[in-house]
Amino acid sequence: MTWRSARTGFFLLLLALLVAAVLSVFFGRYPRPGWLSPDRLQTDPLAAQLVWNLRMPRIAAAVLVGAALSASGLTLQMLFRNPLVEPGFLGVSQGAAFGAALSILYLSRSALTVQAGAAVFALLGLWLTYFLAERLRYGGWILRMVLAGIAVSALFSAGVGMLKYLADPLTQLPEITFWLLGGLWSTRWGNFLPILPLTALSLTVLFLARWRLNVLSLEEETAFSLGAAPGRERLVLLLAAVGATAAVVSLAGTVGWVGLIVPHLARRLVGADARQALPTSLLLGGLFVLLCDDLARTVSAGEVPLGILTSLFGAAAFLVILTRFGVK
Amino acid sequence: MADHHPILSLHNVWFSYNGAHDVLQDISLEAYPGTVNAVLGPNGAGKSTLLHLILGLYLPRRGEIRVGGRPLTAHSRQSLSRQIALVPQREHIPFDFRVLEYVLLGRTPHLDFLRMPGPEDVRAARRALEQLGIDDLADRRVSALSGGEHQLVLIARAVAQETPILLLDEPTAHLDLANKRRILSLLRGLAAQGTTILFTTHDPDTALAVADTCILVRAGRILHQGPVADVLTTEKLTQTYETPLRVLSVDGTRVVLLDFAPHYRESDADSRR
Repeated sequence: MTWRSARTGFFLLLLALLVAAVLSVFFGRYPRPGWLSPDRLQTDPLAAQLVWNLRMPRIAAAVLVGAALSASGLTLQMLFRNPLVEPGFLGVSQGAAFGAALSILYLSRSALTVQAGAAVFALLGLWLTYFLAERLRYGGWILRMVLAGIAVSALFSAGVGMLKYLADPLTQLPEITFWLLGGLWSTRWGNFLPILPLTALSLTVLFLARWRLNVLSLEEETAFSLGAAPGRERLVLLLAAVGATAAVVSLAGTVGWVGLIVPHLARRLVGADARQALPTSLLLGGLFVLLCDDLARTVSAGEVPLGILTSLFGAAAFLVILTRFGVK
Repeated sequence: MADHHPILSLHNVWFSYNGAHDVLQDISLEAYPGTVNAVLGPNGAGKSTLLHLILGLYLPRRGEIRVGGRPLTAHSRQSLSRQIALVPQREHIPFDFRVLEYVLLGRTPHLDFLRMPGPEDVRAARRALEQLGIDDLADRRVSALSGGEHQLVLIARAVAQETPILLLDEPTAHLDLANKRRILSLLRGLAAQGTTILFTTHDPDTALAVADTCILVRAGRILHQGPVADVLTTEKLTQTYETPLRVLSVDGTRVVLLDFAPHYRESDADSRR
């Protein structure tokens, strides 16, 4: 793809995201499932309240969650030289969920504490996965990493199960259950804005360092010969990816498959070069989660958990890509 | 053929991965601008480790390495990456870059931190592709390359780095004869333009075909080094590989044969050439 057409594609995608975000404002179950006319918005104070206090923060959150998970997924894939990893496969998401549940149960339910708990255990999950992958005595690097990630994720899921058992069924349990399914129904400006600084900072770092991602996706000795300090640079980018993931997981719970499928789609669209693949992943991820969340809040009166929808579409798309085109 | 000062030199270098067993022992060598230098020895002799030391990936336990007249440790990471490029033995590229994008990665040492390559870098990458005669591959995906093309693309990436020193780890190990010839004549061409080439190989014929000087390594020690004509002899190669082999002269070209048959006739070598 030439630079010019990549740029055109990028702006088209940006436009699509903006249009989808604006349309999402008028799309929902009030006053009846489907479309809310702009006239009604001006005459009905309840509608205006609802749009401003519920739909808008939720739309912003969906875009941010999708962008952050996708960018983190692409980053982890390139840093680990492994196209089959994503935060949910590396123990990062489950670690974050466990940390958040632990905070809810034993520390406090404030956003900051929950985010911190999520971040610490997200890192721990990643480190455990990496540690195990280096020591597993079966298969190549890609397979070992996936296997270790499955084991660590299962470990943390079991931990969350245990915490659920211990939790107060009236106050704590609903919150913990939310982590497992993933969803944005409790999003307000009040809990969206606190995760914005960490997420924005992390995504900015990843965006600025996207050429380094290309370099670090090469063999260790090659990256070194190109003047990189692979150890230090990997650590900074890993922290940024895990930071962004932990922040959005603390808001949305574990939203699976986004970090795997969106980078794959982005690479199919614009190629593997992170100069194009990273910004494309950001936009495409935002669009994907926004559309899933629109469905989640409109298809039935009771809300469908977002994580279930992203997993459904993500896994289906992944299978199609894998069987038709192979891993890219 | 040579400048007066070596651009790369090792002085009594010792190296150990674990502190106990010395993988490299007392290595001293010099490489002059515009020469092709072959490091020859059996598998596991420490050839790749030697390249990694020159690259600065590991530091010697004892001794000194000098690059461009300065100690290696006095170079910054970036300044060293502007001096030395590496073509690794195998480079698995897990993401499906286009060839031009991959070759462009060779420009990284010339970019300031967090800067993207510009038009000048794209020109340098295209120059490298042209120099290797593979500019038609620029838009191909790296997963769609043949083994020979893949190796040429790796070299193009290193050439785009525009360094005075080029290290290659077993550059012809997995190639058929036509590709092997292509790569070797390419190395000669680069040396003719002033690049210092240092490559490892376990195949004496490769060294014979292209090298000016040869360094024979066995079990982490240099057994012999010097001009190819002096070093690649039946006696010295047999000692290095610890297996019977013979260096024959066929129409003025030396060839190395494994000595299976004690009564091997030179006329056979002629007809199989």
